Amino acid sequence: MHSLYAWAGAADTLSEVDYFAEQPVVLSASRLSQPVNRAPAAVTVITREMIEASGFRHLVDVLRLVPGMVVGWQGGNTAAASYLGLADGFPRSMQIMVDGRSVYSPSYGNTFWRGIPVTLDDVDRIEVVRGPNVANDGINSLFGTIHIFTRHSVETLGGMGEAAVGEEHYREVNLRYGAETDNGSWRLGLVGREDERHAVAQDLASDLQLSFRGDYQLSNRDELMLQFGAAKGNWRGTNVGFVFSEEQDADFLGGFTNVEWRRSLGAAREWSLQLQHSFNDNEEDYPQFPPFDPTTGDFRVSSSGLRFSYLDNFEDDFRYSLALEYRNDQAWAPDLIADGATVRNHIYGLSGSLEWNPAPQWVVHAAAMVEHYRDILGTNVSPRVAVNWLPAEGHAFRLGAAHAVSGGVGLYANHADIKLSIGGEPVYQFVLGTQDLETEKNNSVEIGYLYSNPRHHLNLDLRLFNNHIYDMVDARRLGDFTRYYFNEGSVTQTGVEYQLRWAPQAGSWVSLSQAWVGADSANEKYEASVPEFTSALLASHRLGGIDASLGYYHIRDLRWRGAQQDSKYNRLDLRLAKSWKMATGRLQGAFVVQSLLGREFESFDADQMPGYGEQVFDTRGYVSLKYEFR
Amino acid sequence: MLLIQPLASLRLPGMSAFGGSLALAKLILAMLVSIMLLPDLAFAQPWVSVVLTEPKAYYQQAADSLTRALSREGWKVTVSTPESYGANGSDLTVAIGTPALEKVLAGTRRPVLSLLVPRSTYERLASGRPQVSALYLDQPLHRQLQLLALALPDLKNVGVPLGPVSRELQGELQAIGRDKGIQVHTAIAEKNLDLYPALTGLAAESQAFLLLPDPLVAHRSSLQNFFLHTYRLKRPVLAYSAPLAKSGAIMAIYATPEQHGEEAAGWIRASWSGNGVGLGGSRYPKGFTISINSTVARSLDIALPSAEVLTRELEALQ
Repeated sequence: MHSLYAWAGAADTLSEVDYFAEQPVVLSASRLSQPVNRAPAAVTVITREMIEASGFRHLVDVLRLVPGMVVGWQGGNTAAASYLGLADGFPRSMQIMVDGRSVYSPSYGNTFWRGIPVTLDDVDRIEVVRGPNVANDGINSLFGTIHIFTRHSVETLGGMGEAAVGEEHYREVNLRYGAETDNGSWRLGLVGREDERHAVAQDLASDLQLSFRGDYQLSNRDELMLQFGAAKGNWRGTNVGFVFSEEQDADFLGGFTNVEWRRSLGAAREWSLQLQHSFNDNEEDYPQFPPFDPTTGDFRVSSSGLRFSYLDNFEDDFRYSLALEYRNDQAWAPDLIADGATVRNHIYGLSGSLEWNPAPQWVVHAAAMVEHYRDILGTNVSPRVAVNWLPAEGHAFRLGAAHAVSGGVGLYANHADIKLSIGGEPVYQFVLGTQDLETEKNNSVEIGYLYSNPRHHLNLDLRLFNNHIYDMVDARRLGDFTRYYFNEGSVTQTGVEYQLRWAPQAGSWVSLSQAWVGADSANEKYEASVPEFTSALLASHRLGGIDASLGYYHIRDLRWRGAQQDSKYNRLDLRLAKSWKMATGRLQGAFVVQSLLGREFESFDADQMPGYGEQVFDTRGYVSLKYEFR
Repeated sequence: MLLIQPLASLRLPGMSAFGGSLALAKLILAMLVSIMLLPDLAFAQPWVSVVLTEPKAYYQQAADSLTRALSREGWKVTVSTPESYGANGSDLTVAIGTPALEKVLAGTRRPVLSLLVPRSTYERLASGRPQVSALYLDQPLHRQLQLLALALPDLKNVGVPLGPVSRELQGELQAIGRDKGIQVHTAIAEKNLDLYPALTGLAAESQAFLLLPDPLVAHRSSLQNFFLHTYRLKRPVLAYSAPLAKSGAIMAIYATPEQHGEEAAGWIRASWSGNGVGLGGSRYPKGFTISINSTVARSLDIALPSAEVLTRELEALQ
């Protein structure tokens, strides 16, 4: 009759059950992040507030706020984000995860940013680990990891509708609805979007995306998160690197499911089991050149994985975590890989991390990942150690060292097979994979300093680092025509970067990030691809009920690997927004002008067809209207 | 009295040898027994009837500690549930839990003590009833603010989201805040829709949150949102129950069911006048327990004193 664990009482009455009933562990061990001054690596946190103030409409653009990060686009569909450079149009030295699910493509090791069915409105925060993090997040985290966390569905109950329209064919409709169930909550989102990035002929892109997240409390200690999503894109241009003609376009279809069962063993311990599957499907017709056999840029890649993690934060001075993972990556691209065969990689991973506080002002971290790649790349061990010293309140120093690996150009570099044939007989062999490639490796050391002054709402994060990257994977011509992939060359990077945040009053804050990186290599291409200087400033101020924000993003000359010209931008964006509280909800209007200083060349510009046009991001504006209700 | 007559009339072996002395022996024996039972004879043995909502968990724990403490003193304690409860001749009825209190109030006009019932609910049910008192389930507000100030020495601003029930505490909260040198910011949510903006607004001006029991603010689904949101804003939360300290609050202050039972027993004993229990006005518990969620504290990078130190310092202020 009076169940002890049922929620009691009428809506306007309290009873003892409100005091004694067991509650689910909301801030479970895995939801709690480590304070940055005690973390083993530097972390940039991009909050919802920053995302909104930036006025950016694409997930990847938000990463410009990270010191040392460069964002580039080719046409309107292919975006690339590269931390510390050494990247071409398919950057593969960062691990990128959405709610714990890796989203880099197993084929090239890159990420189809535009095809990730996550809207900026879904995002809770983005945490970017600056520094090798393979020990925690697995292969590809050669320079760091981008963790994108979406909002818990209980935070998005009710409905939201947003419409935005602007220059350069920009149109977007964003709909979301969320509701509670007996034991949880869910939300469903739908986005339709169209835009032109560079005003070249081949970059009109349109997307339709669907996403679902449900969070269910199976018991007070068991929680189930269920996500699925799909993204359909019709993009002019290419997804595989080269535009041959104005008619070329790519039909992209991506989808994923992610299920995580989390069991809390008290407030400080938990285990979780995660099961995920994702695929990206590309249909891309090349122009045909008779008498050669027809070719396409079609591909289909998929990744399925199972991960078990255990986390123990119980002891005040000793904490540890363990994870076991299995993943199966597959790629099929009849005119690009293995002559039409499906290639696979079975990956087994075991990782663990320890954190020990020998004294209150000292934190010692040790972590390692052992990954076995059954089909290519073999077995790799990636350890990391770090020591934090907190000599006085507000001050922390960190000394860290790591050895990390990257899968290079993934399955593609090992199995590439691009040729022109006549009657099935190869005539010109353009690219051939080298099946015994090794991983790219990074030996990294760093010194960090963090200052925090809560009274003045001031935070500083400074990092000096040295990376020695070797066994770089690169393509080289042997003979007249055919390019092969090899492990060769090395680069040494030395750099300093910082980020500063100051929030003098409610609604007013400034975030400044800068990085200077020097590179030394026998290969000039490698050197030129490292961003010598990046700078990002985002400031917001509330004045008379209007939120005004300004974003400034700058990179000095940088030449992406494979590009024909330097990329540089000096971009200034401005946003004005106002909210009105209505009887049933909240209405927000925003006006954004981007690239106020003029045309910015932001492309990684792989070799394109003659007359493709300049890939510049020109001044443009948009307005948006958003209504939220519950 | 019931015991004395059989003892006084007892014929002990060998007594008859004293013949006429038998009456004297009876008298002496009666006197000895009377001396032995003096307290009970001087003040008739009190009878406490305990009615507990369910014979399990926290109801049972409170009932057990109450019964143990009173029985040690030789009090008569009978225990029943609302289903088996009927008005009786007990000196005091202790109702443990809201359903038990409702049943008892409907069934007796004799003295009643309410246990494990929140103050707002007690006042709604028993307002104006003579001879009814409560040991509230809640901790006093001044103690909660004192604890926050002890745990977070730089604390100047506290945010308190209020709902339909807790809104009546707004004035009291602000008065106590003024007294303790803490600015208390409140925001009232009338419905679920208001809660999220209320928290965001409060966070801008508060260093920490105080979570008070309220069917809207502290509803199971609101709590999840509340803890996720306050954690993201990096604001620690002081809550009012042990489960909430496990769920996401940095600390909680509350009295355990055992503390309620023992304290009620002490209050009852002290209020026994010899022919009845005069409890007087309702009160908050003197006893309290502090729970700290060290995982949350560590993640928020807040170095808290231990629960023992906080308890000692807070006791000294009471």
